[in-house]
Amino acid sequence: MSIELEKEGKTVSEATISACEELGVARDDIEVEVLQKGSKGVLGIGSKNAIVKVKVKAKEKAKEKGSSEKGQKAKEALETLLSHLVSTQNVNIVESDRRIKLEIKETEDKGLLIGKGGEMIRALEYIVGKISSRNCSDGREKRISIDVDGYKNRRESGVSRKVVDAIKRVKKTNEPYTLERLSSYERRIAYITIKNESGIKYDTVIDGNHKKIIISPS
Amino acid sequence: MDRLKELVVFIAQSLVDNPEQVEVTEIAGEQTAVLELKVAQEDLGKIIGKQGRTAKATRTILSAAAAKIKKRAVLEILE
Repeated sequence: MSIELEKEGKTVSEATISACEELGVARDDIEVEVLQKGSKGVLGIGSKNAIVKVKVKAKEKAKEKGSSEKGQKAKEALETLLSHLVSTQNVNIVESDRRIKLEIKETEDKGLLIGKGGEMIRALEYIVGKISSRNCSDGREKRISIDVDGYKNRRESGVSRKVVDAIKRVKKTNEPYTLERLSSYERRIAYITIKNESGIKYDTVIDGNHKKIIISPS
Repeated sequence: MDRLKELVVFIAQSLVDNPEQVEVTEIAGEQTAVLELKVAQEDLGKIIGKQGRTAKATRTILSAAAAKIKKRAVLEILE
């Protein structure tokens, strides 16, 4: 069973947000289908509202209420690390079958905790993951995922927007285009975006220690 | 500056099998603090990690903590 809802708003994101609010779910937990893109029109004449259709994804069901041993350890470790970095913190834990999500909220220094291109988030994820899976009997297979005030979501939509722009450009100019350096996680988002498009192909090349995606016309 | 040392001690002790053998010496400079980390021989790999990943992540976190107090910090792992 799934819940569906159609919602109107000035822009696609506005409509999506109000749909989330009405359903009481996070942006992560829904699939969005754009039925009509909004446009501003001229001086308010001919403006169109955006309409989106929102579907609540089947939740990865949590095994039981509360969290596993790994989850507990991870939260403690992260809080200790953060106490050396910021003066106020609030760590929220959400556990599913495969992931332990730790969200850092209400902190005064987001930039520090995110790091250059999310570098700090990755370092924290790695260390917290290592610490929490040591001598741990329950929940070892779960991956640790850390986020700072919705950074990953914002970054995700930023990456897919860039990919969409790149695809348009390739189609227009008929010339291959190389995307900027992306982390493995960001590349995954890029591939998902590319797969939805037709008329193009992509290649992944290794450039030093990094991988780059090249989009070219097919 | 003591907080930087505490941070390294916490990370190191949480990763090794012999936490009692973790030793951190701080050589404070005007701008830069050098933190020398010593662990039991058999724990060295745990601190460095595959391809130096653990050491790299530890250095990233240490640098952020140092930046917070407007300093630089260098982590040296002693063999």
